[in-house]
Amino acid sequence: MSDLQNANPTIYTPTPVPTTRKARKVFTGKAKKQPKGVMHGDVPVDGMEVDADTDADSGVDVEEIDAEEVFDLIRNINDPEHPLTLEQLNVAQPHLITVTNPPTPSPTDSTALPHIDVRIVPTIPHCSMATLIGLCVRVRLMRCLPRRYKVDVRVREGSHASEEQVNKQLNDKERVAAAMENQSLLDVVNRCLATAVESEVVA
Amino acid sequence: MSCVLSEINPSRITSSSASVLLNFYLERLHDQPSVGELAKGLLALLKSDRLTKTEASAIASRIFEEINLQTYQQSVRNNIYRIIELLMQKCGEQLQEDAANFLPAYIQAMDGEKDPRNLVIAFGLVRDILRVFDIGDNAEDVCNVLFAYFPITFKPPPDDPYGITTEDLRDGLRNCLVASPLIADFAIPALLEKLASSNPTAKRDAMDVLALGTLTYPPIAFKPHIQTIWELAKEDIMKAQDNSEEQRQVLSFLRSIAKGFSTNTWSSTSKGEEALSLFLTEALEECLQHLKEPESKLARISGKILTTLIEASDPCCHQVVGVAAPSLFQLLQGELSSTGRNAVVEDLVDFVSGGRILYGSRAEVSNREDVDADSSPFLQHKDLLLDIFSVTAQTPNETGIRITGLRGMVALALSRDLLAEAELRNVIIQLQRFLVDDSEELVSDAALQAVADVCRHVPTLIMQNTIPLLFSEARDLSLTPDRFARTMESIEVIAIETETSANVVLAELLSLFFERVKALSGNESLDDVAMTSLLAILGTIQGILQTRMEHVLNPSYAQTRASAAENDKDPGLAVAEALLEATITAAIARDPSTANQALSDVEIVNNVAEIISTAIRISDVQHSTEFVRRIFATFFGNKLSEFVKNSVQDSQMLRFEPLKRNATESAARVVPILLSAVTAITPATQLPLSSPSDFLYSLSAEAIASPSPRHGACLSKIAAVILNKWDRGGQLSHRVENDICPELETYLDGDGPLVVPALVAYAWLARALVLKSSKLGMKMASKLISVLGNNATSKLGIEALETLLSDSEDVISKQNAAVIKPLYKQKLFTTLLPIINEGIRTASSERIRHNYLVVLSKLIKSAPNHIIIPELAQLLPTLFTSLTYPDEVLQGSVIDIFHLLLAEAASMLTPHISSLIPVLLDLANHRRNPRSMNVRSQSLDCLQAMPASIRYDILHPHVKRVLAQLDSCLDDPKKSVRRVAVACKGRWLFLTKD
Repeated sequence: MSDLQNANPTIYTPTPVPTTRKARKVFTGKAKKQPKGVMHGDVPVDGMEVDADTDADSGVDVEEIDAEEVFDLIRNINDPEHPLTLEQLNVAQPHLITVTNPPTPSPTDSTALPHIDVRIVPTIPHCSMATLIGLCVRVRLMRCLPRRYKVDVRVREGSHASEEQVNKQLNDKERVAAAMENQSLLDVVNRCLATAVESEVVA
Repeated sequence: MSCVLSEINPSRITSSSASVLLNFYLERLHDQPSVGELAKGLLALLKSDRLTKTEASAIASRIFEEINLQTYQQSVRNNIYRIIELLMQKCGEQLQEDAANFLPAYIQAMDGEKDPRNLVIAFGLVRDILRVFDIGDNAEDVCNVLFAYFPITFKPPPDDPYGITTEDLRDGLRNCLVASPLIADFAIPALLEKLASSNPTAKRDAMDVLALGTLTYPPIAFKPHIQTIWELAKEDIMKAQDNSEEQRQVLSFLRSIAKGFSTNTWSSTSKGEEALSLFLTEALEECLQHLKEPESKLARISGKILTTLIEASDPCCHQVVGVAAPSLFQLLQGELSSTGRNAVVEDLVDFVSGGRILYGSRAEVSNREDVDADSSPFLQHKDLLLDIFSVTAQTPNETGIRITGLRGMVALALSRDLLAEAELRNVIIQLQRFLVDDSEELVSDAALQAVADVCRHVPTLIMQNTIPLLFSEARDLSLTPDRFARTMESIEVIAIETETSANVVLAELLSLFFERVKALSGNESLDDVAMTSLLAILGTIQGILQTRMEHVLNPSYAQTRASAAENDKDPGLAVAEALLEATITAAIARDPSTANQALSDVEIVNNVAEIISTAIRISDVQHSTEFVRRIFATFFGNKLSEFVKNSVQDSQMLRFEPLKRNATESAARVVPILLSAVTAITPATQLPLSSPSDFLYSLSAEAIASPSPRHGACLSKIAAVILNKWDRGGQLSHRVENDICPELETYLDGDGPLVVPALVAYAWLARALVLKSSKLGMKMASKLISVLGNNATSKLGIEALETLLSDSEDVISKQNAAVIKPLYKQKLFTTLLPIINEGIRTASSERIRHNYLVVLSKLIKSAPNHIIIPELAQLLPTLFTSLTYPDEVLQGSVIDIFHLLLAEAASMLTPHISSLIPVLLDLANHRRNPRSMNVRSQSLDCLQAMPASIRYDILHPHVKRVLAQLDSCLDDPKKSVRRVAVACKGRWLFLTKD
């Protein structure tokens, strides 16, 4: 165990964010929903849809990606050292994620680009795993978010000894791409991401 | 000769001939090639039971002298083991005397044995030998031989004819290893070595053996190793993932060890206690060290370890609580982060719950002699604990911690002999406050659960305190609908815990209902708030009865109920009767007061009907038959006095002929009550009708003619239920075939205004018959299909067929004791499929074809998998066509069918994957299919299922394309679709990495 950088990290209880909180059942007097339809005495309407329930959720409103959704993507990534998730270690926190969805994105104006900024908090200030964790987060977001988003992954200010280096490394396209060509590194990253993928499939 | 011996009747062998034979056999043993046959003969001789004990014991020594066992083939070895087994049974004492020779010889003989069949016997022998014999100096050899097999890595070959499992061998070996205390000195170090290895099987088996070993091995043998055991277990548990199987394994190992040390036969001597306390001291020291940083990972695990130890035994509990509890108390007094505080309190809650597992729950008779709740170490801490928990439960703004506090209070309240009556009352009052006044939903949910838990064990206190409080809240008319619903929910959750509480609450709810109705009288008109609260009350009554119905299905419960029900009136029916009286009185009242309007509201009546149906179901046959008779008399025979007690003057009364086409509107509304009554009773109950077939005929006639579609449909349903359940001797179906069907079919073929009601009636009657798998039913179903071709009714035709195919629990279903033949679906499927196929082929317009496709998808969905899967191969092209229709429901159900195929018969889909994937990708794309998000996410779901069920080489050519196209799905405007897309992409991405 001694080769671990931080053998005994602090575990945080995942705070219930709205996405994980169970939708509270609405108590509507438990009576069974009365069946509907002509066979139960409803007056037929001409051209009536066979199933009337579907149009409710087929609306065209756009639900923009928000911080919560991004957090959902990365919360279940495993720490490379422990069988614990980034959420449990407080490495990823919902309030450290910023999503900007400009109303009129324009390719020329860089401030009007859709942008996601993720800060991670290493468990200890000199954690050499910070880069790896950051890489995992970046790869995960690269795979799971629409391309139009510009993604920045950084360590939170003041939480790491060599903050600048790590940030530079994480946000350098070339270096990320090069890292992804390193088979053994890719394997490690995939292993960390596997839990995130699994948790989705179960859900 | 050996064959003869084994076949011959043992009584034919005299003892003298046996001894001659024996001598002959033993002489020949040196002749290697004939050993096999000799062994057979010896076995037969031994079985014949004709040998004296001394003679028999000679066999063993001769065998070991002459035979090098492992050089022979399996069957020979097997026979020899069986000989020794018999010898052990028959002349164990003689062998015991000769132990010094026998043992080493046997051990040498079995050393190197590899065949599982032989090993099972050999292990059994070792176990017996170890139990009985004085193994003395041979202990080490025995151990060496045995550990050569440890851990068992045997995997039975597929379709093994001998049926020997890994477990057989593992158990055999384990029993050997713990058979004698004498081998402990050698076994323990060897086991620890295995425990330290990285092989998970070795670890697990070593833990099992050690845990069992605590019961037989002398503690003194453990003493030098206790530290190592702890170290090894600790290392394993710290590495294991939280809540993983490994973690549970190690925890249960620790529990067994601690338990073993405390119940060990030696424990009366100081040695056992010493071993235990040494072990606990080791564990405690380490754990307490970790607990000092309560939010750390190791502290969590330490808490779990200590809880496990508390559960193990009384002395463990004393020692652990004695040391750990004060130190946790001390921590709480210091500075702690909220996570840390939560962790510490959680540990304390776990400790108390662990104590509850050990000492038992409140009001429960203990059947354990070794523990005495009076001596619980928690007794001296209870005040402090109670304080801590209730303060924690009130921490502002910290939902998680508060819930932990509540859990702690419940754990204390339910522990046996821990809290005094007054203290318990105090706890309940506190819980009530959280339940009623707390603004944080999660906390009040937790409090509700807590009160319900307490109610399960000590109902009286809750009935005296909480229930009256909740009802006084419910009587407050200024309560918002949300709060009212919440109060009702609380009442229900508590009430269903015990039967007495349920009965009291039911009566209370009923009077609350009537109070609320009465309160309406003053109002000018009905308001939604009042109606919702009335519905909420009815819903709660229904919920309580429903829970009881689930209980009734449980046989042990039914027995206690049978004895209770004899003397008093059935409480469910009492409620039903009161509600029925009220609704009927309202239905016939000429004065349209607000209260009467409320009572004859469609939804209220439907709820009442639901309650009546449940009440009938849970009451016994006698009561329910009588009740149904009275309902029939009221509806059919017009005897209102059955239910309406206060005689109403005729002038104030409306006509009450609910089953007639010209029924008054309010009378027509109560018909669902009759429907619920006929659905609830079983076919065994006699219907109080003089001529059911006439009744059926008139019902269908009235149903078609009724001006109110709802009334008509309800009458049709009643007719269908009666047709399904009481068709004695085919009388009813005969009537249907001869009189009703022809009439309905003329309407169906026409274009008049009666098409719709006729179709409704026809569909219900068809369902009644189809479920009985009757020929007429199938004919009627086919007729319904032909309706689809008619443009005017095609949509209706789909609905009618849906009624036929649905598994709905409504009206005619298994829950309602309908007559259902097991294979009716199969028959329906095979009858309808050709007609539908023909329809699709010959359809005159796209619209009609579309209709047929919809019906086809419904038919496939309704039929059981094993029937449709063989048929689907031919239907696949048709299904692919269906996907091109811009009908999202159709697309959705077809995608579902594909999904099912992927799960059940992926190989059938394999040849079509290359056409399926592009179609699904298209449907999943929000730019090309912007309208239906359900179809999009269903398509993605289906795509997601592919990597798991289709071979990689089939999917490989599509991977790039799928991944590229999924990218645009990641940008779907809907969140839920994006989530599926992410999961789907994950699956496909990892597919390439395999």
